Amino acid sequence: MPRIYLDYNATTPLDPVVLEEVVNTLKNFQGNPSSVYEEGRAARILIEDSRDFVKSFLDAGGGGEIVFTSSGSESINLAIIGAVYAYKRLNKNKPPHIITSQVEHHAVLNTFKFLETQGVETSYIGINEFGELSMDDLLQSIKENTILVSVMGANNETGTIFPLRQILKAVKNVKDSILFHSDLVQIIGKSGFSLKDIPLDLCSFSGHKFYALKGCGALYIKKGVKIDPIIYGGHQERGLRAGTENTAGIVSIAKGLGVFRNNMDDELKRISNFGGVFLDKLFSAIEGIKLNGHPVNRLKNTVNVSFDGVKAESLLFNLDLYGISASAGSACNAGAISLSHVLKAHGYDIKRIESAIRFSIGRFTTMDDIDYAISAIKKGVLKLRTNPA
Amino acid sequence: MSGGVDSSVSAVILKERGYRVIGVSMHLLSAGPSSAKTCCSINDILDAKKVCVRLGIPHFVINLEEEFKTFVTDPFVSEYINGRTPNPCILCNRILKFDILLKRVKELGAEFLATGHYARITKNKSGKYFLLKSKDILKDQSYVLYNLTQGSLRDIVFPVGNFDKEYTRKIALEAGFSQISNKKDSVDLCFISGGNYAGFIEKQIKFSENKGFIKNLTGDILGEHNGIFNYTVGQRKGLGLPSKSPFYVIKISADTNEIIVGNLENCYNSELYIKDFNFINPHGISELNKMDLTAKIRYSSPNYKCKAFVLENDAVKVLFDEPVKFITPGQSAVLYSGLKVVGGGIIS
Repeated sequence: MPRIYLDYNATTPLDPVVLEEVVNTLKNFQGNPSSVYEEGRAARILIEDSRDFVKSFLDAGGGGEIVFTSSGSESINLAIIGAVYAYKRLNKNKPPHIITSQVEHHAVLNTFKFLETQGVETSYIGINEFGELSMDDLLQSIKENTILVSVMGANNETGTIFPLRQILKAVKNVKDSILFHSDLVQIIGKSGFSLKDIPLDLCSFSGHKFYALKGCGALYIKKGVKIDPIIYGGHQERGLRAGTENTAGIVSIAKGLGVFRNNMDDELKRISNFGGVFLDKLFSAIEGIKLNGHPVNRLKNTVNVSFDGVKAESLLFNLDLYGISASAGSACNAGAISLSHVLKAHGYDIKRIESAIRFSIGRFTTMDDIDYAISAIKKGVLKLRTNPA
Repeated sequence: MSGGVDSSVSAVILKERGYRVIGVSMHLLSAGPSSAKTCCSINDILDAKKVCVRLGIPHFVINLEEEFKTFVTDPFVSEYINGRTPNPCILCNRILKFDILLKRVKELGAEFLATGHYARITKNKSGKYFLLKSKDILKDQSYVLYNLTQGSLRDIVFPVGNFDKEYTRKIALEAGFSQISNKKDSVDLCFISGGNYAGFIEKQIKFSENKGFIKNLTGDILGEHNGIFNYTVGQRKGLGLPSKSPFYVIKISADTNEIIVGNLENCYNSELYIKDFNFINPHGISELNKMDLTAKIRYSSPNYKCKAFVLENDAVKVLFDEPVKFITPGQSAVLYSGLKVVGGGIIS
């Protein structure tokens, strides 16, 4: 059976151009980048060229650094824990306070939970039913010892985009020394982004969300921002991340961003168009559905909808049997789906949360895929509504 | 699919017979990082997934965490608090597996639900279904399945019910699942690590003071207990009562928060009462008191010869040919006619 992949927010397939570059790197650049001889130099140059490319992609200018990591999660851990540890090291007696939103990815939320066990004060800012961050709550929660605010660029489940520039400005207006970190995992590769526009202190992203390899991520650190490492060992990555570099992964990040940039306008237009068509067709094909998240300010590739009277788990499994890949809530390692903390934070009732499915399209989605998916979703929804468990 | 050998082999066999098979596992507990290996741990579910992927069939994990708490572990705790000794597997089979899960797999378009239980289902000419003990009598699990009905039996398949356990293991090995073929049988309750059920209950209950008296049959105080949920009828060890002849728990009284002990002769009874009796085949109810039956009074008990009489409100009275020891309220009594399960219910 043909598979139709509608889960690009979970991960993306490798772009063929990236794959070629990865294979070339694996074959021809096997040296340890720290080695002092020919093979080491060759790998080192690839990595540094990649770093420069990523900086230029982000419009980092001269004032910042890129640290390559193993994942978006590691980047986020390094940014948040690293900032807290550096602060604690420099300000021995003060317990720091950090702020984030209730709808962050678990990479952020569970890092915050960990830091709570280390004596760090935390605040979690709520959202309204459209997924908009409560700015009043955010600004009022800032305290004398607040050292970091972390707000995501776009929500992975609903696609709701946060007005980062505005949030950043408002926070810095209250207290300029607060570090602002953003989880840009769902932004980079799905939308244009420039640090000139939004001068973040720290931002994290992940290769496999933009057609590069899994197992590689990056963290941008603005010049002058102090963070401590969380992995100790060699002096790699400017002393901020020990461990021999994943040369092919790093190259894949640069190449993935390069491929995206070369065709960005066309691709974003096409995906935005397809996402709109998908949503329209879904709403005209099936009654009793609700769009979750923000109706306008969202990544157009992401369609998170609730189907009245349908259990998302059952629909998802049926869709898999029809050849369609989508997702719901957050799945644990073994694959059990639990209720979405993101949708809960919207204040939706339990039925709406239990019946929510996320479809996310991307570079290789075709109009035929969308048409087939709509008919399969309709079939599944009608079947489950006729025979409710 | 628990990730064990029986459900894995069930999938192998059904696939070989040409069924379109879908693997499902139940997610029942959110495991903390330090949780012990249990029948629904992540590793076991991943074992099930491995089997399915190797067989080329889908595998889904159905989240029944809330249902498990509501229908299995919460009643488990309240039964103990009320002085009874429950068997949670009975409720899990009745409600989670053969009601909720059965409905969920039908939502996936499945016609049948197969499990790795050791029991057999047969059907007679007039379309009536019967539940029978398994071929491997030592592994027989029909006891925990007495709540099945004509409706559910129609939709259920037990592919290993006709096998010896050793044969099941051999099939797993031949199918290339050597690690799974060697897995140990689960013996403990899946939601309690290390068999410490009293610790589990203590964590769930609110009051801290559980102490009460241990008395003999004439009402003399012999000692103190620290919560009646620590005891079960027939228990001899851990009573802390020094005496020449050993004491046994013969009654747990939740009303007075007392444990009543006696010696072995006091532990025998020739009758018991069952409430909410489920007849596998309701057709035969009127014949019941004429039949030569046997009863199991707990999972591991032998079959005791008995007669049974239907009372009002689905209650059943069981009269044993010879007195039976350690009849335990909260456990289930299951009646058999030969290999056939007549039905069963909870001992009141």
